[in-house]
Amino acid sequence: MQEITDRIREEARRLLGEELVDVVIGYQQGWDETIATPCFAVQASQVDRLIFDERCTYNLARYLVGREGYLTSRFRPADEKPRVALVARPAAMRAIVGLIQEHQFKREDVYVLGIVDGTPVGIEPDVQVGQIQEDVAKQQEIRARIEELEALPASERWAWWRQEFTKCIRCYACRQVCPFCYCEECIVDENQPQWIGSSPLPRNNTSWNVIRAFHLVGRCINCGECERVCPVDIPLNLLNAKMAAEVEEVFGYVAGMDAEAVPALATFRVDDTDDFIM
Amino acid sequence: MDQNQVSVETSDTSLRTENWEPKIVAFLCNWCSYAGADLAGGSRVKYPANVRIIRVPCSARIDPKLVLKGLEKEHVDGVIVSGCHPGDCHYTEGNYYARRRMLMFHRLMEFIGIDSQRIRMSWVSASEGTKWADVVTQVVEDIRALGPLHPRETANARDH
Repeated sequence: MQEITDRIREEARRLLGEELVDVVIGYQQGWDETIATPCFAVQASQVDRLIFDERCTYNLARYLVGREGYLTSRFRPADEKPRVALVARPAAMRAIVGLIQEHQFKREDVYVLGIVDGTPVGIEPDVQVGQIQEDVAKQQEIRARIEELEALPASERWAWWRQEFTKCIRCYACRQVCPFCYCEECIVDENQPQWIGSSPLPRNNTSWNVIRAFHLVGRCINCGECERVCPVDIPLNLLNAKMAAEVEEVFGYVAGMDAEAVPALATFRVDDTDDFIM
Repeated sequence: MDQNQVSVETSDTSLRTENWEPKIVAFLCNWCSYAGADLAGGSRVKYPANVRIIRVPCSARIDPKLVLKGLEKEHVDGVIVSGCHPGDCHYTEGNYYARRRMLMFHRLMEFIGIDSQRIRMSWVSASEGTKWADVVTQVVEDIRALGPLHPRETANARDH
């Protein structure tokens, strides 16, 4: 891990020193030793704040897009967009691919300091700053939990999800942390007409979580950030992982693997399956 | 209200009201299915009156939020989305997009435990009045077998 930190600092010092980028987005020590927080280094003197270790799991691609995102901020004229370098874990690189597919920015707009784990990520990092272990156990656990749920009868599954959704306090942390939730106005904030009730009632919560999961179909790159930030521990990633598996099975498409591909629900094939239609 | 007791595929018949009739919202595309339903009416084909039809420009107009909004309502037990047959879309390819979207929505709802028979999709052309009648008859039958989607609310609102 220390060599990754050194490598990130070295690259960041070079990029900022030679004024190749305006900001390096990475991780830094948080307020106590258990936490690492995002770091935005804008001068060479701040480079030594940057770290990388096992606590640095956040998907930093989130800071590229959205209203305040570095690359899409509407508070800056187009010709003054900052040049950004990003410390990207595999999930962040896949998110970058997805965002390029959705025309949020171009590949050359972001300088990727990639940390790879051997899984395909769809782009070549500009510099590979390190190698980490793939978290195989976590993926297996998700698959096991999905199978467990699928084995239940539908009524029990519904009762279980209903219980989970009932816990939701509608803080929208899942939305705020998601690199693909970059809409200027979220559907849940629309009120004329109001599609999703904003009070945290079980019915509204179900609608909110279902719609959010649906909006991520064929886009979610399974970084698991939504589930990590959820203050009431709703297993949101199960929905996303389940739908990613469905998309792969039915359309043969995996999100965040090919910057040239069209996302699954933005295209069609004439011979798509018809067997659920009356 | 104790939310844990709300269950969809309830086998507990005591929750079903005696005079319960399934209520179904149908989104029909303007160019084929709505004309098909119109033809069914015009040719006096009989089919259950449990369906409330909403006309939309194209089946691709159907965002799952509309379906979900329908299912959220206390007395709605199912939704039908119907459009032109593949290749016949007035906008050339709208129904192909709708098909992908609805398939994924189906799978998602099934995963959270809503029976996929409550969210149906059909292709009905402007000349298929009888097919529309068959679709409605079939869906009403299926949903009658499943019971109300919101058993408690239905039980509490017998007069509606």
